[in-house]
Amino acid sequence: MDDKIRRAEELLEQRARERGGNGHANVDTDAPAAEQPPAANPADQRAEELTNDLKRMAADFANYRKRNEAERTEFTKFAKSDLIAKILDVLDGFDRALATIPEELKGTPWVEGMWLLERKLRGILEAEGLKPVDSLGLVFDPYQHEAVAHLPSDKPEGTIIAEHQKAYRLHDKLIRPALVTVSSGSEGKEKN
Amino acid sequence: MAKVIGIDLGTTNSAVAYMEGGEPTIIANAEGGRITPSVVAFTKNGERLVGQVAKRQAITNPENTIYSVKRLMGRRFTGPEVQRTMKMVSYKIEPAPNGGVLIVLGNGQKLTPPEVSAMILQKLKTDAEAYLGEKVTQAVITVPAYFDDQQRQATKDAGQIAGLEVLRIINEPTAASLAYGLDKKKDEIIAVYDLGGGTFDISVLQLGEGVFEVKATNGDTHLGGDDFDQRVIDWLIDEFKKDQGIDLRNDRQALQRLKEAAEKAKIELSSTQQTEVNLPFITADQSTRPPHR
Repeated sequence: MDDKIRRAEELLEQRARERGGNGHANVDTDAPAAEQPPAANPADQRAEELTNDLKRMAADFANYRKRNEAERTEFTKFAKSDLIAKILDVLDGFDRALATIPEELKGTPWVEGMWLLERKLRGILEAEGLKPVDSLGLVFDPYQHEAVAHLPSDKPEGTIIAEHQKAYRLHDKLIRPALVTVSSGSEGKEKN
Repeated sequence: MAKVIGIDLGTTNSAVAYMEGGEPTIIANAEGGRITPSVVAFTKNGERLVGQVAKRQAITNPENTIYSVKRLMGRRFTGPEVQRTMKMVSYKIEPAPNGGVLIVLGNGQKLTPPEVSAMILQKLKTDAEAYLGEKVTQAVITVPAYFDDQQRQATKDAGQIAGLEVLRIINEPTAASLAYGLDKKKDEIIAVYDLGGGTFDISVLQLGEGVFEVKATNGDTHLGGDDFDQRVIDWLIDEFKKDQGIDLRNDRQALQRLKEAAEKAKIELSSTQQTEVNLPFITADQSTRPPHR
């Protein structure tokens, strides 16, 4: 591809020169590599070129295989992570729904059934390696938390004062950061 | 032979690729993403963050979180684009002695735009090295077709600071055309439409004999996918208010969920004719009868 671009740019420059105007700007005006002096034996040179090509390809292939193996190991461990990350949305829905059960429905068998459903879903996901991560009261860490607001509070600056969405890990990997509000200290002004 | 990486150094996001078996392949970053937000931040402890982690802490550290630095590359401080960008960003910008631009951090430290871009490039380089399992020293970087000599030079400088030999600076529309194999066709005039996160470029190229000549460029430097998301969010909020009489604008948690849902809907609408936005218990915190949307 680089050759094509080089050729294209050379042609373009040539055209621009012929026109006498300046074509579109281009910083890169490196001259093409100096021509090699003709080899004593063209066949030898060709053989060397091809041998080098072959070596390069063998090295590329070895690297590719290594990378492929590493990816496969990761894949078997985290193949489900995409699907689980999507299901987290449903789990959040359960959390929200069960946190705001209308008074008149509390304790009814129907609501109890919803609790059981939630527990079942959570149980299945936990068996796959999913773990919730608590954030409230911890020091904000962008590797685990995403700040959606920065508000004054009586907690020290940088403390997480509200959690809007729970963080989850699958095995040791964070598959979703927590969405949090971070304290800006007691004298900070509201910034969001 | 060491691998050469190709870098799309964007205003909002960046990406890095390499050639594998004759095909370009995007390299995932350390966090597993195919794109890396073009954001650099400095924490109070002096730690440097680049990409997704820098973006996540932006709201808590506005003075030391640098984004949209591409808008400042190779520009004069007095130019209209810099003046417009200054009003938009949360970090400080001041004139450099040479008439260019300096970014001033909360602690007074000053950085040039190429230095900040270099930090993004360095992250892409490190992630590419981890992925490929070998050192990377050479790169090709794309720039908008309308970039002038100074902007191209600034991009090259950024590569150099990041420890990369920049083999070529290629026009973004040219790179896109090559990726679509358009160089194989004969004399043609094509339009390349590039809608990024925060910028929109359109270029008309003339193709012939493998040459890409930029005939014209235009666009809107302040229009992108993020604006589309905002329109979808506004529409959802208005519809919900009409329907339920509740204004979600004051509910941070709801807004966050709307933002994610709006982006998802936009992405889905690229491949389908219609989509559904379903956010159960959107205002569950505030009312006893949780409305849905």
